[in-house]
Amino acid sequence: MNAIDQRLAEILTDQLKVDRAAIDTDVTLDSLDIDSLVVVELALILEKEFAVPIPDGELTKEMTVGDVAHLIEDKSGGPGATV
Amino acid sequence: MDRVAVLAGLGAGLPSTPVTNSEIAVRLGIEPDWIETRTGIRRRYVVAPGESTGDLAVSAGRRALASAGTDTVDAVVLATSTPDRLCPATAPRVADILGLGTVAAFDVAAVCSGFIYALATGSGLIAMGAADTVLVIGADTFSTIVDPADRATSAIFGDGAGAAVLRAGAAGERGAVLALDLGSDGSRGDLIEVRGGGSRQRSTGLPAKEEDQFLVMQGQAVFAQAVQRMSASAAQAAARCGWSLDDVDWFVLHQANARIITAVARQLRLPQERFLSNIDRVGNTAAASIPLALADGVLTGRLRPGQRVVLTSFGGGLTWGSFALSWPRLTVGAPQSGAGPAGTSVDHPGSIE
Repeated sequence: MNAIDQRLAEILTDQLKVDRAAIDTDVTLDSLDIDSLVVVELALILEKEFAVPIPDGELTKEMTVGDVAHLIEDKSGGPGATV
Repeated sequence: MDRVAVLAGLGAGLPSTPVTNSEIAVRLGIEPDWIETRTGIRRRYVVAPGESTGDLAVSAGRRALASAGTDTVDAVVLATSTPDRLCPATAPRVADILGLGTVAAFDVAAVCSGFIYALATGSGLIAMGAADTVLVIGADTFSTIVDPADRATSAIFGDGAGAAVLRAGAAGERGAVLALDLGSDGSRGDLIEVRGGGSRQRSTGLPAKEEDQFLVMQGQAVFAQAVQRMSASAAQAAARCGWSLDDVDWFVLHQANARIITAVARQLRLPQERFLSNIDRVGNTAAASIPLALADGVLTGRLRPGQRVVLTSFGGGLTWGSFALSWPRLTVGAPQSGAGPAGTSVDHPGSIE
């Protein structure tokens, strides 16, 4: 788990009240009971936390936790990027 | 000593007809739970045929005057985006019915942020010495502009009015207005709009299209904007008072949707228990939502003298704003009946349980 994966998991559990045990890179946001409004909220939190722009609609509930982490990695310049 | 506006009275007015989720669910062909799960709303009130925004404003205004122990003011500022008529403003008629004589009276249009904008206007009149007392009202009847078949809006909005009396005072007093933050972003004006009925459509010489007569709202984009703007504005107003977010006893947000209030609490990293809410019982009442939530807070004993309170709104325009004050000692009176000229309004605080 790199720094982004770890921070994403923390945000999901601490701020969005997702069950930590259910989080895995392969599970979709939808299967974590994250609906469309929570997806919007997650995008706002990630924008602030990682200082990356996430336009409306870029994050979807069909994405997996791993997809979200990759998206942030791509935008912020790789897994080693400081957050 | 600087002359500032001080909150001196508060009143609420709701129509007499409650509408439950089950009634709306039947109409929309959805499960009753759908509405409460997504919005936190269990009930809202709607006006009777022929009843208007002005009627509700009179009801709330009368109660606010009684709460302040006065029957005169120097000005009436009414926030609404559902006026009784396209022209003239609704406020002069409200002032007349309330027996306030020929005082200054006008409307402010800032959609769901209207009450905060009207408070700012009233506070300005007082600060500059143009008025010693101002009746500020937020009143809307969104049931008259929502498409009954649109579940995104018809399940959310309710009708209502809330009012406050401001008087001239000093900054050290309880109830004194301590800070203000206002903003707008017209580039996102399409997120919440009624396209028809205005000059843009009327100048074409053609009647408004059926769908253009209703409020349209782009839910997810509005959610994102509302959360960001209200979080930033509330923080800004607190900072202008020299308060940290932890110093604030109550945040009173526009009651748009319970999910938005939860999301703002998370953004600000604050417990949701510090966010006053009555949306479950009245729905989203647009410009009336903040004063109705405040009246509810007083009646339920949650708002107490000396507490630090930040009021924050967000609405079409886009517009947003915040108002910070120390809570005054005031009472919201017992229910009284039938205020409006249509005879159908009931003054309701006692039933905002």
